[in-house]
Amino acid sequence: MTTKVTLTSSDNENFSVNKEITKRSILIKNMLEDVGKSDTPIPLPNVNSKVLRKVIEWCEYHCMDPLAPTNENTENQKQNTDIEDWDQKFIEVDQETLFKIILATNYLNIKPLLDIGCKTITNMIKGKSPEEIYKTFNIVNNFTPKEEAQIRKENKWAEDQ
Amino acid sequence: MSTSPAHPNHHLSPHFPHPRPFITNNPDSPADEGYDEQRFETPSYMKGWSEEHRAGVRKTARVGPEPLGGRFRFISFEHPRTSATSAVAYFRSRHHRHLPHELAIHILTFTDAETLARVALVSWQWNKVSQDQQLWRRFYFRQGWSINQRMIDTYLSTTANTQTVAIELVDGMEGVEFTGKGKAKELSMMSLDDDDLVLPSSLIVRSPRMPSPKTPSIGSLPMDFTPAVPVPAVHVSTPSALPIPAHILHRVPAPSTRSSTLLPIPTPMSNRFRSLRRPSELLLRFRNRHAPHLSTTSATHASSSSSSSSSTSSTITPTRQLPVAVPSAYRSSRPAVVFPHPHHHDEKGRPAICWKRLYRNRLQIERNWRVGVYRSRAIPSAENMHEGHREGIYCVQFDEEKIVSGSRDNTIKVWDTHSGRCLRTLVAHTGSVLCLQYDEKYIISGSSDNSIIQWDVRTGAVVRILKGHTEPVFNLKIDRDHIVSCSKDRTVRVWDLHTGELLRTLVGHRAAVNAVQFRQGLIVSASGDRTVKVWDLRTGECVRTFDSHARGIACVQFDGKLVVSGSSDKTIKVWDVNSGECVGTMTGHTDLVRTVQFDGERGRVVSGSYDETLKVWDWKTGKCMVDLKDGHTSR
Repeated sequence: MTTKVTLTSSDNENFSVNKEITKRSILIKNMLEDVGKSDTPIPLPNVNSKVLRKVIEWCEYHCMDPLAPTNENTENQKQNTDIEDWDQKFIEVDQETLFKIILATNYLNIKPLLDIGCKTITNMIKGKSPEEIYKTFNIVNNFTPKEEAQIRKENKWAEDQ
Repeated sequence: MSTSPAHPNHHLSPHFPHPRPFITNNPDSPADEGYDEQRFETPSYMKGWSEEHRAGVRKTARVGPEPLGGRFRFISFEHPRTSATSAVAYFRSRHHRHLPHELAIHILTFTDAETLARVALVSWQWNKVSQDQQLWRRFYFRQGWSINQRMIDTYLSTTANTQTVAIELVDGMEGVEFTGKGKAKELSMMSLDDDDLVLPSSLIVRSPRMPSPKTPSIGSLPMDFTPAVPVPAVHVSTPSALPIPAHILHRVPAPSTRSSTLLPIPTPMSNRFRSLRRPSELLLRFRNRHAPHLSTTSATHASSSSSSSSSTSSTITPTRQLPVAVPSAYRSSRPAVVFPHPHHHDEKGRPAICWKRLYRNRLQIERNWRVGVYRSRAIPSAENMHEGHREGIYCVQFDEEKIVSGSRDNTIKVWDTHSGRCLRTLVAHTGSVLCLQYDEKYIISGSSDNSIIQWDVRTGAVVRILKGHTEPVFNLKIDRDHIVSCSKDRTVRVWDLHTGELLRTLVGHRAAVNAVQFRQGLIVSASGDRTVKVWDLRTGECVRTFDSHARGIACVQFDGKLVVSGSSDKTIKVWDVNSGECVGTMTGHTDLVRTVQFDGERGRVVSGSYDETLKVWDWKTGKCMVDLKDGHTSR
């Protein structure tokens, strides 16, 4: 069972990956099922080589994990933004890479990794003031002070009491 | 186009209800005081832009599904041209705000309401994402809150019908609304920004001291329907020159002057406000039926309208609000109140629940619990005292329609929850009615005459009398098939609800059994012998005994997992039924704890004691959150 699949990144780099590992990506898994046997490289025009390398690294590390349950009965997990140690280290990347990983995993449909990325961002937002959020993400606050005051007032109810 | 805030009554163009570039709150203009909530200002970063550019933004802002998997761009304002439509553009962008909408939502599902409210302050784009209905819906259910689907259905289908707007259902569905001030202060901006929205989720309800009828030029539809306005002649002028049949206008009930002057500052529950909701519904429906294009094309529509293109395109506000634009005349009104429309419309224009709003209201109820905001009401009311029990009341159960009470005067009374009037008095017991429970078919009561009586809940007729206990029946509990009762005779008995047959007698307590509960095949009983016992319903076997109260136990509750007991030792204890461990003790009452109720999920326990107080506790911390004193003057 060591069939290899070739993935081609947007910058035309080829990655030869164990077929089982590529199945972590539901996109590729479905593709392989549809196509059947094929030696043609799979082009991934939305993922560059740097990000693809990261993603493959993650898939390889997690190849023994049970495939994530497909249904979304994970409401409790949604509240839990803890990330495993290895994943935590893995996801310690610059923001640009982080976003690219999120976009790539969304495209490739690798839910556990997508969630890790999203949780990482969530942790950057949770408990932070809007000011801290601007800084973190380099966002320009495009509210007028008045609008801001208004929204603040309107959302006051949500503050923890 | 040149109307200045100083001339609020400037006559408006027939084609465009609002001549000003955008609706805004000009702090210098007293005329704007009444519209504190209307905020459709051009974002500051747009101010330097050309008309064309702005129009372009507006257009791209509502570009539908993107080529890639139907994604919406999370942000479209910043780079209307460069980011355009290419999916690849996502991958060039560097920041979170360029994530596709669905991903942004996905990220936010990991957060909570508090974060979402803060995220709303980051930028327009974040704000918009933070309004996502599904997100709020999710958060709502995540809190463990439930909805009354039947009420929601009724509510939505009713509001879809112009003629019959069941206002009460709205309030009923949402339970306790905000008390007073909070509610009226809602904003409409957010909802206006929502692509799914037809009307802003707010209506402007005007105060009594509104300006005089020297405001004949009414530019916007909702205003036409504002009932507080004496409207001698209505000029309807909307961007699309929508003709409004007079009969529609006339359907609006004009409130009497008297009621107008009575209008307190915002008391949302007041009848007056309720009645004011109606016109808006009417309008909403009307607009949906007759002018769907208003709700879908807005930006393009407005900017392509040649007659007013220059003035419109400078209106950066989501043009959807055009028809809702506040005519300057009204903007001069004094303290107007923006009353949030309770629901909004989904993509298909059907009424839908605004989950953020529902969340907020539900949270308020939660906080009322926490903080102890309540109202009390006596039944029977003072003028109907003759309907009351002649002696003390031992037990009560209620629902939305009825209250059933059992008394020391040997009777059971059924009351109308709404009117507070006594509907029926059930007489058959020859001793005090100590406990009762009803379901859809029966009322079951236990008495100090040692019997249990099964009554027909509708007619009040005695179905059967269950005899077996040799001393007063202290407590009982029913499910679909069983009655479990406990008695001073130290036993717990299990009866067949349908036949009245005594199935089992549980013997083991060494003193009177004061309280009993059962659920999921487990019976929990509390006794004067200082123990709580857990029994298997089917075998009758005692599977566990909790033994750490210092004195007799007066009451017990059980939810399948946790047991909460209140004792003569003045404490309340929480036990894990599986491990048998005591997981919490609450001390604070100064006398015997006579009754407890709890909500395991919320960690909330409510207790009533001989010390004449009710207390609300958080059992996880053991802290008393609310102390309700001075309500009762006797045990």
